[in-house]
Amino acid sequence: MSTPLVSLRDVHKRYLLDDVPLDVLKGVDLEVDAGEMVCVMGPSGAGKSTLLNLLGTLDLPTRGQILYEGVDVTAFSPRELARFRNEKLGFVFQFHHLMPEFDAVENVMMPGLVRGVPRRKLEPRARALLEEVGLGARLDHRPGELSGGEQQRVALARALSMEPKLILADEPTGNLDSATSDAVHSLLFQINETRGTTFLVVTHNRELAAKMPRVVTMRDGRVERDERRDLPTAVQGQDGARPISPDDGPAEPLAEPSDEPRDGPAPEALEPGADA
Amino acid sequence: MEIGIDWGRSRLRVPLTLTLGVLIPLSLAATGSAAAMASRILAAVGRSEPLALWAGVAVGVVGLLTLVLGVYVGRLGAAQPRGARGRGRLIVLGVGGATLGALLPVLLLALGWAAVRATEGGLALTFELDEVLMALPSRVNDGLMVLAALTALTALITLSADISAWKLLPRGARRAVWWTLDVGLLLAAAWVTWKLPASVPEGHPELTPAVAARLGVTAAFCIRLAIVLIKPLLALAERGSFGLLIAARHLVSKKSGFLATISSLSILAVAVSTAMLTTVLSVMGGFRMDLKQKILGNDAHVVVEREHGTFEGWEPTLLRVRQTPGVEAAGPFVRGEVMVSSTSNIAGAVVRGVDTTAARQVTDLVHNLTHGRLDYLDHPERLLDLPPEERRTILPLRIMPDPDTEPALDDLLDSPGDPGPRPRFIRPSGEGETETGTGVATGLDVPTPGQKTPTELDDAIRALEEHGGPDTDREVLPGVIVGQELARTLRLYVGDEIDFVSPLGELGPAGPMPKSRPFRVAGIFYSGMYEFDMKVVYVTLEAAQRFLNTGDAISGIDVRVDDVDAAPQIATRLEAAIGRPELHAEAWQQRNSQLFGALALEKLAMFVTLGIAILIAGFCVFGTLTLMVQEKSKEVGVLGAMGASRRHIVGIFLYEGLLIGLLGALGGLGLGFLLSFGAEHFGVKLNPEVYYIDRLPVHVDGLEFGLVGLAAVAVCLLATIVPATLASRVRPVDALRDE
Repeated sequence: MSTPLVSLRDVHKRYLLDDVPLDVLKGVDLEVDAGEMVCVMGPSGAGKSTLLNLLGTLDLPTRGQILYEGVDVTAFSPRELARFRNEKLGFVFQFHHLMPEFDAVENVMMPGLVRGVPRRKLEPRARALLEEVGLGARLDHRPGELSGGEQQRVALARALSMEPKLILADEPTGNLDSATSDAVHSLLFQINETRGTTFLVVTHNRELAAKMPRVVTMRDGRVERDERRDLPTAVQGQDGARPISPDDGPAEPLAEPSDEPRDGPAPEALEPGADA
Repeated sequence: MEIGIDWGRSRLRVPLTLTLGVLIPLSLAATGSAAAMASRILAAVGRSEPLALWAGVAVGVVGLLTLVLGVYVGRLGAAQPRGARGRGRLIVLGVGGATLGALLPVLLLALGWAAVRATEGGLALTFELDEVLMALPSRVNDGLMVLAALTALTALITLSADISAWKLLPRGARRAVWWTLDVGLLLAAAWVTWKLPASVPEGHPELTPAVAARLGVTAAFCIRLAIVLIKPLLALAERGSFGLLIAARHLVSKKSGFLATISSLSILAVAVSTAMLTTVLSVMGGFRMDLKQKILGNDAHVVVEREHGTFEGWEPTLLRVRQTPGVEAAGPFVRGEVMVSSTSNIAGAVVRGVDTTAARQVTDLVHNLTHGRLDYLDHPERLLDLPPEERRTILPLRIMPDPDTEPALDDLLDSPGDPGPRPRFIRPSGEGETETGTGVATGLDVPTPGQKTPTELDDAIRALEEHGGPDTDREVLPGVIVGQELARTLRLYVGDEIDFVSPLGELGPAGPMPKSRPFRVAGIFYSGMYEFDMKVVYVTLEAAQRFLNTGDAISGIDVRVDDVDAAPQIATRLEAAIGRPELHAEAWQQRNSQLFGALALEKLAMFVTLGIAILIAGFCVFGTLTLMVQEKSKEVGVLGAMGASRRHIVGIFLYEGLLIGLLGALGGLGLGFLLSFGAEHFGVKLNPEVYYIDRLPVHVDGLEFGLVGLAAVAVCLLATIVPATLASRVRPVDALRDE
């Protein structure tokens, strides 16, 4: 489809710091297609995190539009936004932010529980997801009993649990050593490949950036550079990408994710270079 | 590693060392010596050998447990790879602790046993101790108390030391112990419910321990059940809704120790305040109930009378009253003020002339009689020829009306050294020592205080004297029944002669002079209401009419109704039925409205005062939840990012407050019920000189309990509103900003 998954149109964000206006984003235009893996880089204060928050609808822009599949979410009510986040987005934070009172399976089920889906429907899928991220043996462990890499994998599984189209990750490996980071990175690519989930990753990690097919560099509240590359490591990630078919439109409720076909027919992959 | 202990972590090392090296031997030593000393003294006092034995057995069991634990921990320590020196130290500690744990109780048991046995051979020592006991009764009692407290404390410390090492046991063993305990408790609870009485039946005080045992076992069972059930219940609740799930997890979470502590503290605060409030309300209710019963027992439920004076032609009125629906019985009465004088004293009284047959039905007078009979009013001639056992009097020491346990005359005359069961005196505090002093001073051998008093001797001597003495006053006089307090003031005995003096005199040769008539005491009653016992005397209707010169007129009609709570309505009905405008019917509620009004006000004041305690518990909940919100703000942020709406977030903290309130209220209500039940059956003894009742009356009102529980839950819910709103205002962006 020609409609991009997300498009930001002239997005501005102004914060008031002690009544002094601070323009963090000064007109950002960005389009992300389904199935893409986008890396956002840039120096501190460039507005990467703000961009991510806006994309995640955790914050609203001062000016401009954020369109998800053509629908402007800035006009949503808080409740609609909550529901939208629940169904369409997944978050992975630098600090895993798992809930310490719940074990891995329960943490993965959490978005579904928020929606009010019965446990018995969520549980098999949560287990499958955890196995997919390589934690089949750690299902009953609480976050405190897991290593940093394992925690981040659980967080990833949690982000995936409602079959979101877009996963927003803020420094997902910022807190891990390089070996663990690599493992998590390849997991991201693997998921992108098998599920066609779109990733937008904010990172300082050059290694990760080097592997990403598209790198958006930000500076001073604007997009400075938007590079697309055909990288050997990323090729497979793009070739194998299975974007969710347009038929699974926004109206499709994701209340019963277990019923969703895991490996649906892979339609023609979006041309990565189609967008300007 | 399978047992779940990481030896390398220092977390367990300190408590373990402390437990093994210091606490167990020390506490065992203290327990043992306390038990030994207690058993020594108990044995010296006599008949407490089983108690000492049980104390010894308990110490032995704890010691055995400690021994097993010591050996186990020692083995465990030896198996851990932690360097030769560390291992050696652990083994030494383990073996040392185990040896001490094993040896000390045996040693102390031997000591205690020897002490118990010593009484058989060393009576001299016992005698000495008895002397000491005699000289310092209160101090020895205090000493025993201190010893008992010390024993309990040390046993507690020992147990807690054992418990602190409890986690070291393998899971299977722990589970097995719990299973055994639970099954045992279940069987015990079933057995006590089946076999033992739920409450102490009237007149069987010896069943009190059985009831106590039932209560204790049931309470233990319920507590254990609650502990066992709380997790599954919370798990069940978790399925209820998302908010409940998170709230329940927050409460049982062990992750943040401080929060868990203050959560339990706020539950405790709610529980304690609820328990306090319900207990106090139960006691207040008990007082009200007691008062109501006494008023209903002594006074008629409804009284029909004229505003002032007497009225004639009452027979048809009485008939009409009796025919009114709701009326069970009715009888006429004449009332007047008189002076009553005996040989020793004089007092004012209200004389009530009653129809004896009707009085049986209308009031509880018959049941309240402690001495004499109601028949004697109608047949005063029988008072001249009383059997000696009926000529007993009220002693200055208050003896509860329980003729079975009162010492018979024979016992009083010869029972110097026999330490039989003490008569049930309720003595004003501090009188015991003086009494003993008197006993010694009069040269009588009185070993135990309270055994015998000079007055009782007076009684006996007097009874003997009068039996042998000449018949002085053998004239048939109309009978009178007096209250216990009046009898005491006037020093009256059944069969004694007293004079009624009326200020409304008759004309004598020198003008008006007070009228005086002799009566004979036919009975003594104890109503439990001081006013009644001091002021009211009963005579026959005719005697009263004659003495008060009312002719055929009466002062009013006493009515007993079938439903005491409907008395005011019946009173209205009576007025209509009688159809005499000058006569008014007044129910007991109206007659005592001031009294009950004061009680209700007092209760309200108590409710408000103690309700403040619940409010404070509410503040505790408020604080807990505010901290919880602060601590969990990141979590709230994550939930927000996951799509939890504000309502979800508010729900979480609301549920948390609800759970705290529910748990606290349930625990508090249970505790309050236990306290009330305990106070009711094992009575808090009151000083009857002050309160005129011998023990704390308690009345458990289910509705009140429910209301208090609801109030507690409501307060907790209210206390959550602000924290919950705060939580819902947490913006994910702020909460999740990099730390």
